[in-house]
Amino acid sequence: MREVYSLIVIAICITVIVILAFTHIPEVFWWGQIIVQLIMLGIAVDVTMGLIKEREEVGR
Amino acid sequence: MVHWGTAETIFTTLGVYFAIVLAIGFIVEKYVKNLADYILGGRRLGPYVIAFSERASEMSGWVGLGLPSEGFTSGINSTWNTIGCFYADLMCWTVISRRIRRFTESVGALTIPTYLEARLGEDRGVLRITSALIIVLFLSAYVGAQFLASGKVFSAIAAVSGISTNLKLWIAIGAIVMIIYTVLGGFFAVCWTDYVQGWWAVIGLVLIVSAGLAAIGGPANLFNLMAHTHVGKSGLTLLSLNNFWGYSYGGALLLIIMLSYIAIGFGWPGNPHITVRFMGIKRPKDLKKAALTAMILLLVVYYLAQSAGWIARVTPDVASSIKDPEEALPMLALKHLNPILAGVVLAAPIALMMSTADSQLLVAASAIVEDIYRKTFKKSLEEARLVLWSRIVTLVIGIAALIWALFFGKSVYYFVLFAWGGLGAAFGPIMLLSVLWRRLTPSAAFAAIVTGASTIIIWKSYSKGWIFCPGGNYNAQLPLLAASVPIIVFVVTFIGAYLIERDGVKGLKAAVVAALVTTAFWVPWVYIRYFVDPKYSAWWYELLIGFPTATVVAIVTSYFSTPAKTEHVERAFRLMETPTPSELGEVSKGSEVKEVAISEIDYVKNFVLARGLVK
Repeated sequence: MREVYSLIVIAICITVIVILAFTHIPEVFWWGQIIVQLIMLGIAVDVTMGLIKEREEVGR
Repeated sequence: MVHWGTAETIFTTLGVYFAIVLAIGFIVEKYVKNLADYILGGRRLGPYVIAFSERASEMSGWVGLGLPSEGFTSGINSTWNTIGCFYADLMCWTVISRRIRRFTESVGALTIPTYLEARLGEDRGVLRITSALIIVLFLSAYVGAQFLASGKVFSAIAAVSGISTNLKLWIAIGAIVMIIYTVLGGFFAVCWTDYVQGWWAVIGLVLIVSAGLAAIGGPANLFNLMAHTHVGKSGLTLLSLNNFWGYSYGGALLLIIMLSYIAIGFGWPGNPHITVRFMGIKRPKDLKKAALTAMILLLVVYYLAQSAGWIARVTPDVASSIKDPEEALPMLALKHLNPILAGVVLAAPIALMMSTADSQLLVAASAIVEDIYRKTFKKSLEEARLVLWSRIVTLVIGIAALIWALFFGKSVYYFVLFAWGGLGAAFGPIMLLSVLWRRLTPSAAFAAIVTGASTIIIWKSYSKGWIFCPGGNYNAQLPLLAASVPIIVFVVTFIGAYLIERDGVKGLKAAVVAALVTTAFWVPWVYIRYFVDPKYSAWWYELLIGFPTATVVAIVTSYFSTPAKTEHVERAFRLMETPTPSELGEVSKGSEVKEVAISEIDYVKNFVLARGLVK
């Protein structure tokens, strides 16, 4: 299910960025998309960290 | 104009680059002992090499020349490329990578067609052979396009340097170097050269962007200059968010263009030269390091590449000397850097093209040798002979692509987007569904492949005005266009599903369902384009319709076709979650987990061995 959540979050992020673009304020769009992507990278770390935790649990 | 001495220095730097990648091919040749080594590096590569290879394989001339060109013409809107690509790559790493890495090791699958066959339990070879043929078709065009692109870069450099501008000569030089190291070293050579090429691209882009920013007064001044740099004829600037290619778009068309850019990302999970990288990593637990490295590399390279285009546009002496926007990066380098550094920068796009073409060449060769030749005709060849055959096939495909580039290739990006979209729509949906959804059936997967590939081929041909467009009138034959794809899907799916199901009625049922679903997506797409954009002035990327259509076809057709045995599917999914034989070496001996995992692996291995799916 973790992967499905990440797909949902990705879809939400892209929607947010499209909405930011329709503000027609370049700075809002530019910095907004960078911030959203960095947050997503953090979530990706959590997802991949989760894989390792899961494997360690399986190992135990 | 650069003087002859300067040109010599630039070409010497390029020669050093070629010498490095060739040396890698000769060095790693001795490590190739069997087919698994040649196709997948024996799954012995570390996370950083795999991460760089995955990135370099994707970042072709599109990133090296196309993205600076987008930045040059569309300004801040070139960011949409990065947005679509970032999320797509993230999705592949988090959703697909670990599952196919574990599964393919457990069942011994070396290629994507074999993975699909083993995962879906299809034992007649229909899915495998169809997948392999589609991969060879699209990737061969892709390789040829990369050869052509690298030749154009060389030729452009030669033109400003006063050396021979013979395009064919430069195409041949780049292609021959790449073919040699790929034939010699296989996956090892491809990944290690990708690693070098990835670093080369990063360093080159950092150099040129730093020099360019210094020349315009630093990064703080860049947005200010962009806001005052006018493009097109309607008061647009590089910071106008409705400016694409110098034309103003609003409302629905603006949304379509944004979504088309994002839809480029749909190609990720389906392009085998990228997804096969996940299968080559040594330890699945290292996927975390690899994913983070790849994602950071993507952001750095994409933002630098588009920034190079912005800087070229706001620097008057550079902008005024550029005739073709794709010259933005080379011109910036020639204007701002000394010859040695310019050589480093100019080798960057060539490195990106070669790193993509070598990966595609290897995947196309493996599709022929592993998926068609060995499994269909010669199942018990010695490993040494299989490696020899792989090298011969790699050479033949490489030469064929070179001939295409020399004598028939004209438009680079037409073929790049065509091949990217074709593979993305054909394989992307079923790659995702195969790791997430148990109900996916072999017939539905076949229908999705046909739907994705035919959608891309028909829409691209229509967009170019080759079909259903008499006299350049895009609206003259809309009913024929609307009927074309559903008819193709019906006929081909019926043949494939009949062979898979071994039952004419079941085959017909799958074909009817697939054709109806395709109609439900394709016909509205055709007529929405007509009503929203009657002159067909915006960019309607075929993946925007191909990927969703193929996805829904796969899902709905699955409910109307025969699934694999529940036991097989459940065990396949457990294998994706279970530590692999290589991981088990790290689990304490005699643990219950190890015994359970070995039992699961044995079951699926026996299943596929009994059907001759893998060796």
